[in-house]
Amino acid sequence: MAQEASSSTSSKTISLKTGDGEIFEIEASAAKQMKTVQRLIDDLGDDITIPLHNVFSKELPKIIEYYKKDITGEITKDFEAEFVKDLNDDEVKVLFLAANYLDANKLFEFLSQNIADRLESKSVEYVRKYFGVENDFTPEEESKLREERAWSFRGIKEDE
Amino acid sequence: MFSERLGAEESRCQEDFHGLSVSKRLVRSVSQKLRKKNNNRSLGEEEDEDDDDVNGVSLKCLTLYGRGGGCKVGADTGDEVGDSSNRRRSSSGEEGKGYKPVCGPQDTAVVDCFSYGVRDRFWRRHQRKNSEIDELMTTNNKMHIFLPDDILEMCLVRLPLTSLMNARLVCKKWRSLTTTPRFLQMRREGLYQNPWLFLFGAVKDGFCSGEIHALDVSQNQWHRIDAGFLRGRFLFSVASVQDDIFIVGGCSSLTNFGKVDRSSFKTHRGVLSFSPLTKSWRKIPSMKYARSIPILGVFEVSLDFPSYQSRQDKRFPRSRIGGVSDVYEDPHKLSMRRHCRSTINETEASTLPSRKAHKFLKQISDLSSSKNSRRFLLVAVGGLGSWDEPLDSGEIYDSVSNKWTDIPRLPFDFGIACSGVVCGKMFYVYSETDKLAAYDIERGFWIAIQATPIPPRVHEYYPKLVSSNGRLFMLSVSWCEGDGQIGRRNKAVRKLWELDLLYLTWTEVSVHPDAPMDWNAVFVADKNLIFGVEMFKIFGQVLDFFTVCDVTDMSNWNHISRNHVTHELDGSSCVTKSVAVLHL
Repeated sequence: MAQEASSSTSSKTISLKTGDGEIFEIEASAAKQMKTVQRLIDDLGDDITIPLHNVFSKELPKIIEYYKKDITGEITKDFEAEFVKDLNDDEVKVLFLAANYLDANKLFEFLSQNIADRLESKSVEYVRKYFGVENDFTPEEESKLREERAWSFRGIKEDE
Repeated sequence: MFSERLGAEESRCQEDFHGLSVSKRLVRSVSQKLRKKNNNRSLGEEEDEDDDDVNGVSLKCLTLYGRGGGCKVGADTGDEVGDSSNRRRSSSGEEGKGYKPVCGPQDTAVVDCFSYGVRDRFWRRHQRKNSEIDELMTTNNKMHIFLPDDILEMCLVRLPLTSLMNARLVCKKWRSLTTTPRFLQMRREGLYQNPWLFLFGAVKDGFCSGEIHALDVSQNQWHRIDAGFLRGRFLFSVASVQDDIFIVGGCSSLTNFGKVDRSSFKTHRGVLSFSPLTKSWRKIPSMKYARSIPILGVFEVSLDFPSYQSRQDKRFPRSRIGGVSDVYEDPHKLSMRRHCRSTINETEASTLPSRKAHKFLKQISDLSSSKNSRRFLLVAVGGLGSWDEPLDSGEIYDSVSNKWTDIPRLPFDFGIACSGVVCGKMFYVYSETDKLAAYDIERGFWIAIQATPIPPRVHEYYPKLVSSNGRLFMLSVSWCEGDGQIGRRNKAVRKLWELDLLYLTWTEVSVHPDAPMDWNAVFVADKNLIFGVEMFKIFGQVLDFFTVCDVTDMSNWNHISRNHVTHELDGSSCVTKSVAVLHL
């Protein structure tokens, strides 16, 4: 992996090491999109394997796949739909957290929209389950609040 | 490492895990851990990664069952030893109480390892040792499932209104997260809001029920709001002002309270502000004159816009009728005035009071900007007075001074105002006799506008003005050639026209797809969308038709909501209806 620090050809690749020890290669231009990676490159140099403690071998390939498409300008609605189609709720969250850690803005925006879409028109219980959040309202408080919001409860989709 | 040893157990685990969509790594570590637990009965020296996995395991168990670890990121809140309240909340029943053995060497169903009892056992073992790890969890993102507040917000901000309202019921923290002014501003500025149409004036069985029908356009869902404060009031006008709807004027029957009774009624000066988000309303200072169906216009102005209060000191010698305005009299002085407006350095002596007002306003603006309020002016002109006489007076409400102030009357030969809208810095008003005038909000006078005429319209259908994206439009019904009837103009068609504000010419933009059955069709616009609401009674039923047109994509009017929410309403609702659109 001996690369000259001065060369900056577009085919230059950066090595990333995930928290579980696997190594992936990405193009330097893709690395630029992940600000955390870029910062580490700036600090450590680009001929060193960049360690990413909080990203794992499960997520990183997906992220790399996204940015590969991004640098060629091929991200379309169809691609994005395909990208999230087979992800379950937990996987989306994992990817989302990774995108946040990597400061990968475009992916972050896309996934936050996807999570919002997954919550749309779902019941309160579903949302609590999704985020693993506990209801800390007392039953009285909750019924009072529901009363106030009464007109927003119609048209709830059935929980999957 | 342990993979050889796991063998059958793992594959059994794996089958069940598979159904739960858990990763292979997780499977391996679960089996690994559980085996260790069984064998060692102590946590021993584990590597950091294993710990995290373990914690990952247990919390993943949690998540899969939806038992919250509380709202704190990563931390196992409330899971003290013997924290019965947490366990009490579990609705998975008491089967966990027996603490069935974990999966591993024993030939028990793997699903047991997810039973409540085992999870609790893990918790109680772990929490003692892992409080430091939990600290770590909170700070780093190894907790793959729990999202930190700041990025959670980024998801919630994108929710449409109804889902957002549900989010506010999830827990106390979410409630406060999604109601801070900063969050709401982020939502507004990020353009995550969607249009909502509010239909007022529903009359049922002769009574003004005070029901508001709200259409969530993006979800195509109707909601009904009971607005008791509107009961009995009819023929009021509505205008959307930021996130609220102002309800201005109107009538109510003197003899038959609640009924639409035009035989004996009172006309109101009162003004109300309704906030759909909080389902609350408040009283606004009343107008100076009682009006029903006034023409309304809303200006959003900056906080240092001169107060309308001070303008009372300025002399208005007479209303400026006709096309004569300062522009033609003294262009240079005017342009100087315009240039200096930002520094409020006008040369006229009469501006001294306004300078003081400006300073005073500056103080107010410092206060209110901290409260993140936006300033607006609401103009009300025309309408019908207490004896149903058409009015030509006008008044304006300033949100900063919270008062109504007179403005000059409509131009002398203008006629009866039938429609009006704010576009840019002008309030355009159209009359029943096809005259167009504009009130200049800054300079405080009317200008008559001579525009090229539009084709003669069908007389009973008064044109409606709308403004979208800084452009001025009009919907007008005119005769055109019927199909196959060349030369015979016997088909009535509603068309959308645009006024070129520079050359003052009307151009036809598009044709509305529906036959114009409603002479009192209402059109409102917000951002780049123009919404049309038509209601009419046919075959004993009141039907409603909602259409929308995107001004950036002119050729299409689309139908939205064919649900006919109004089919139970009386025919008089067609006359009393009014519509406001908000972005919520």
